[in-house]
Amino acid sequence: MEVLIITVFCSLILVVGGLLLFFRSIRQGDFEHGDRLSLLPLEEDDNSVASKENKGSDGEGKGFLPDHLST
Amino acid sequence: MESQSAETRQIVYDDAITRAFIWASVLFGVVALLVGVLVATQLVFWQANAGISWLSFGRLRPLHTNAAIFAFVGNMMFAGIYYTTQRLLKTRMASDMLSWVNFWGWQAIIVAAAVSLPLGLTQSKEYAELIWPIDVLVAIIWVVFAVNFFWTLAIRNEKNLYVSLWFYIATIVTIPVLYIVNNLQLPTSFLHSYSIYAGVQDALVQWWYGHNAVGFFLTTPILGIMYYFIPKAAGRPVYSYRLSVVHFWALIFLYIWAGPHHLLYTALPNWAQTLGMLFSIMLWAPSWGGMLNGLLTLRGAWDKLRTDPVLKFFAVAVTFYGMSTFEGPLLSIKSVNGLAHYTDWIIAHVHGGTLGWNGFMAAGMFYWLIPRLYRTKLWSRQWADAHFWTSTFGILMYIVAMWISGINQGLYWRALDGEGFLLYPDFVETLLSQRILYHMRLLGGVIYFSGLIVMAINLIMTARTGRAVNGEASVVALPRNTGPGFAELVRSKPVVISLLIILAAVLVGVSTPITAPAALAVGVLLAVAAIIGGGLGGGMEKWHSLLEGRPLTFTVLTLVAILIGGVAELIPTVVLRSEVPDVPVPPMSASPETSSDAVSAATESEYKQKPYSPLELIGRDIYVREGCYNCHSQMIRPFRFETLRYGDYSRAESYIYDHPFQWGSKRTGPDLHRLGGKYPNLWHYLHMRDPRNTSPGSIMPEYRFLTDKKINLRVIEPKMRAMKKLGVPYSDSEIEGGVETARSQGALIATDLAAQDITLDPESELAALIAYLQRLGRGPQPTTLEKAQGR
Repeated sequence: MEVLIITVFCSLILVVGGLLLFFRSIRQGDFEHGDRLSLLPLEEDDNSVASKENKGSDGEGKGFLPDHLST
Repeated sequence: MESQSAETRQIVYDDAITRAFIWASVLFGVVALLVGVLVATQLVFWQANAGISWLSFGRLRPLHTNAAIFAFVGNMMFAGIYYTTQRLLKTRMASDMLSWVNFWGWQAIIVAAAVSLPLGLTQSKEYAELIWPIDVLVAIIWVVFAVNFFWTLAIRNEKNLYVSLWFYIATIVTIPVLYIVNNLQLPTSFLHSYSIYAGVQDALVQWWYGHNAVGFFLTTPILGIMYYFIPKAAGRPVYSYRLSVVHFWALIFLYIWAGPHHLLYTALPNWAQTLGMLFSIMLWAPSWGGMLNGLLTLRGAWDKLRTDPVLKFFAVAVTFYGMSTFEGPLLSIKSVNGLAHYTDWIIAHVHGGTLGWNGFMAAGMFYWLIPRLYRTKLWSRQWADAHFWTSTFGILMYIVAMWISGINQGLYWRALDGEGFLLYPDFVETLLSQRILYHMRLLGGVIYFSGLIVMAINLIMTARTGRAVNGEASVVALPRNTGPGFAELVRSKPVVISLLIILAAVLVGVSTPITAPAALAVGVLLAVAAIIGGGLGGGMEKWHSLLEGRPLTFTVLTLVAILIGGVAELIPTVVLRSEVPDVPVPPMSASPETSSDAVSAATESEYKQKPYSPLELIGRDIYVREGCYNCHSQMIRPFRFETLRYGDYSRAESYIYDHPFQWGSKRTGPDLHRLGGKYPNLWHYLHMRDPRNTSPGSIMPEYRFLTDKKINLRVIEPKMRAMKKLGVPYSDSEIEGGVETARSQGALIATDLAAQDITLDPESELAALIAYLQRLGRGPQPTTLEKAQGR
């Protein structure tokens, strides 16, 4: 039974810690940096077919890149 | 390659290197899987090696695993890294020459492995079998790759490093640490060496390497590729950038501790086994965090899965990643491991990871890249769909067959009758019960392989319809760095607090069950209070963004994160003599009066492990050369069903002169640790010539060629001298008389067989192998007629 008490105790600490960090994260509201970096892979090469014709991911047909990312 | 204006530069990326690595990956993928099909065939039809030594299972299985990992996935990894690194850093690779040295050097390593492994030139450490000259080449080529990568980081035009690059950095710094530490060896010739570690220490170092080779060669770089190509193919940014931060640091810190889960219930110290199990279970969380981050990136694009082959492959690959990273922690739980270890369940697990996760990621990436790298469209979507469905069906058939087979094996081995004795005492009974599953495995493998052929044709035809082009981009030149420097970042509060938390965790680990929770609670609350208090200088995100702009600092912290686990586990086991005693505890069979105190009072030398005789040493090298460890373990676990079948359980002191260890990880055949003395020499002679002579139903290959091949007596002295340097207590007179001792021991075996009308050359390899097999699990055997008669 001792292990159960320790397990529940440790789990509660993790939950409380996680919640505190979560609320702090919301309050801080610093998402800009992550948003900018996460768009990096979506940039197309200047001479790519996809950037000119907005192709699908295998090079065929109409793709689904957001308009603002297509040149 | 670059034309420069005041602020913007026109970049021409080096995509030729990406194309080269892709084609190498496709070629070696076909080879790796072809060899896989051949060895799977040999497990169904043992005759499939055609009686040729270099086609035997023990030699080809390492070729299959090395080709799949380092040739197929390795080349795919380089292709992905070279393509994405240039675009994420907005610059061409720093040196085209280094890129091509990397490419041709890597292919040379693969070819050298493809030649040496079938010839039996091996270290016998799984996924680290390559002989020392090739290891040196691997290290050189990896340094070339690292220099090129970090040089490119230095000339980048994007300040912050995207998450994919973090995973590449972790790969680049961790692989050399793992590879070099595990491959420390003492050469005896240009083609042969002995590991500097022995027995338990060798096993721990090997599986620290083996597990993390999976982690940092098959996982982290492919996660980096996932974080680039899934958003790219889906046209959506990664689901959560913050989750990727947590995913990265948690994964690389936890992964490195988990190696000992390959050695549960072995002679490894129990504390190391427990650590391995615990960290494996914890690893579940970041793995699934990453898996969900990948899958949820497809939110809003699920409908594309019906029509887009690229996304289909990525979705299934990430699903396999989730499945494998669920299965891994599950298999690391000791009670589950007791059933699954040494069985085909592990084979199912590794194939789910390599063919499901890596193989499907590779296919998705190739289908996305090739049309772009040749400025055309995919030759046939229908063929890509056919590849997808055949490979999915094939890998599922393979895995299901191995799951059933593995659980079946585990249950057969442990089945006891009503009186507590083995229900299936003959090992072959288990083998016969799963033959149909081995057929099913072969069929699944062939189907998956056929899918790969379809992909190869589709990619070649796509390339033929287009022309090779290099990507171009105009980028804004990056201004010189400003902001906090290396020392400031390393001394910053997140680093200090992280180290304090780790220190607290270590203190918790050595405290009592009563004080541990209290210490943990105080530690966690202090950490949370510090973070809440805003003491991080602007918060984690901002701090991490600063870190992303400092590759050197990032790399140092990554190195620290991966070293902590390795140091904590390896140093005590390798350095402390108390962890691996060389004087045994009382044998289980000892009578009460010879136990405990009586044994400690006995002369130490009576119980101390004795080195192998010269002929046994040569026989052991033949055992290593033939890859016997691929099917036979030498580690009896402390279970009743194992001690009933194989004898007393294995202890650490038995292996102190085993350079390298031969514990194995799979039992297609029975354990051999206490084989010595179980059967007469005649049995071994007949068995090695045709295993069906003594074990009807066996699928072991014939080793008739060992009777005709003579041992090389000239290598005895250098090998014994090398062993002496490694701590094996051979005297100078024993070394100088090694050849004569080997001859006389061989003559004893030949004389014994001659009495039963069998003629065997006393200097044949079979005589040496029999000498080694007869030594397993017991003390020194007679080497001269006088000693034999005296006995």
